[in-house]
Amino acid sequence: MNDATEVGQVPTIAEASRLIETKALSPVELTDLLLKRIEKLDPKLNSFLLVTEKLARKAAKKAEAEIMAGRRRGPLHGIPIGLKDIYSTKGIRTTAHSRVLEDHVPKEDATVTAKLAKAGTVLLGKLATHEFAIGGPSFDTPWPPARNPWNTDLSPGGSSSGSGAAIAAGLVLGATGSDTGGSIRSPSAFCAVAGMKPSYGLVSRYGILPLAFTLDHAGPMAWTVEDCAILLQAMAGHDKRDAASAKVKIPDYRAALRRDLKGVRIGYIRHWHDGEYPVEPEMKAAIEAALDTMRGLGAEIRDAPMPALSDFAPAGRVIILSETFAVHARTMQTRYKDYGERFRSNVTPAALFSANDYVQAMRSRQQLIERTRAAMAGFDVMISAAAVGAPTKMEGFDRDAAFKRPSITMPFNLTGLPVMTVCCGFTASGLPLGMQVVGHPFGDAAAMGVAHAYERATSWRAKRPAMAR
Amino acid sequence: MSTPEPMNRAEVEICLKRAGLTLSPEQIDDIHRVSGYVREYLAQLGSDRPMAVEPALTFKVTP
Repeated sequence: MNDATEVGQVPTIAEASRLIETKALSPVELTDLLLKRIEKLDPKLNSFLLVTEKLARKAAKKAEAEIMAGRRRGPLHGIPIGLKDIYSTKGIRTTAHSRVLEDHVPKEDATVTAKLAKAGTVLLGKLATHEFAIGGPSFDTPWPPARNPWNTDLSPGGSSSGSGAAIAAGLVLGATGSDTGGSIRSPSAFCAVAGMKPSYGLVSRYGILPLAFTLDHAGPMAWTVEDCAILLQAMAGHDKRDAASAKVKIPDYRAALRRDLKGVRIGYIRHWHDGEYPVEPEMKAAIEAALDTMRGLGAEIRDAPMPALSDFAPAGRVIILSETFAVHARTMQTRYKDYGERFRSNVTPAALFSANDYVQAMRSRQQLIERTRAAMAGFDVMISAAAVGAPTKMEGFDRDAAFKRPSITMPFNLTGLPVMTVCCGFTASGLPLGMQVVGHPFGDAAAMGVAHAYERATSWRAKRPAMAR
Repeated sequence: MSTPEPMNRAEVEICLKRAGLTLSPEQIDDIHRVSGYVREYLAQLGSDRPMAVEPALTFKVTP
């Protein structure tokens, strides 16, 4: 199950967009191809909670008619995508993969849902997630958990598990994710796809089911960095309905993609890899090989003096659990058993925190933001692993895992920095490894630019899971 | 890393009750078991900061 194969017939968003623009590819044909792939492959993956086949065919026909009539809206017109099932979709079930919302049908779209529809995308369906975007693969929710197309015995990461699995298997060309402690970056790393956690405030969270208000980020996932740039262009922008939405100028993300890294100053967060909590040896080797590649493209690389991972962990843990509990307390009081065991096990310890603990965590967070800003001075981007190593097993649930080891992704939720995650190689057994490219606040374009140059210089995008053939 | 010594079980039960959660003895056992980690995290978090340190209550969303 572990071997990879050359890319088959599924195009990237950029490729499909060019073909659609020149009328060499029909959105209807593309949608039909992907629906057939979903029918064939998804029973092994469970990446979809709902396939909106009729709506997809209708949207594809509409897109095709508009394009043929000379009314092409842009690069996403006619492109089939999926939405993580915490993004509200008017009239379409939105469940958060939970019994608690098993029959929930929103009355309006999330801002991002509406923006992607306006850009002309074709919605293929709603994608699996860890329950309410926290925890891990659960077997006691109404739908089975998504599986990793590189090896279906392994986790696709999460919480945007269905998004990662569906993209890697070539069931959608792009998808949305959300990231409160690593939920875009973990599945991107485990499924060998590209995932962008934008700067906090860049993409509206209105209509996306909240997990932890001050840590939640919405972002795109796709096969390549360029595809993420295309999606982010449509998703980003101020939204008065999101209290944390930033009023910033939105650059042309695709235009900022680079071919080389001449003069780019990269900070390597070395001590996160071989310090108190070392990553797996193959991950460390892959990151160092990636740094060599980037050096070869002209980058200057020095060690970045970031705070230790263990400095971030207490604040991250207290904030994410306190805010999540605040969202779910009322429902947990009355419907505790309707949540899956993993959700309950993760979130209920928040009941042990006090108001003082939360405020101290937020004060610690402010200090960490300032320390991170100082550590990043003199660098254009920073690099670290996106996961400790290769994907982990689906089965088996170490209740204490989240407490034992500090997250390598949470620091950038606490600090709100943009992070582009890309594949940086494979283990000897053919499993994906992922890397974080971290930008300055609202330096999303710079992070994507560096990641794109690296991605183009490697052959990782030529591999797909064997089952994706 | 071994599981740290849990908090006092009665203290855990009071916290859960204050949070409005009615749990079975087995469910309380689960939370009691990981409560040692919670205590460790809170000890690491500490409260010894200069009085003027503000919380990141509202994130600075404008660069």
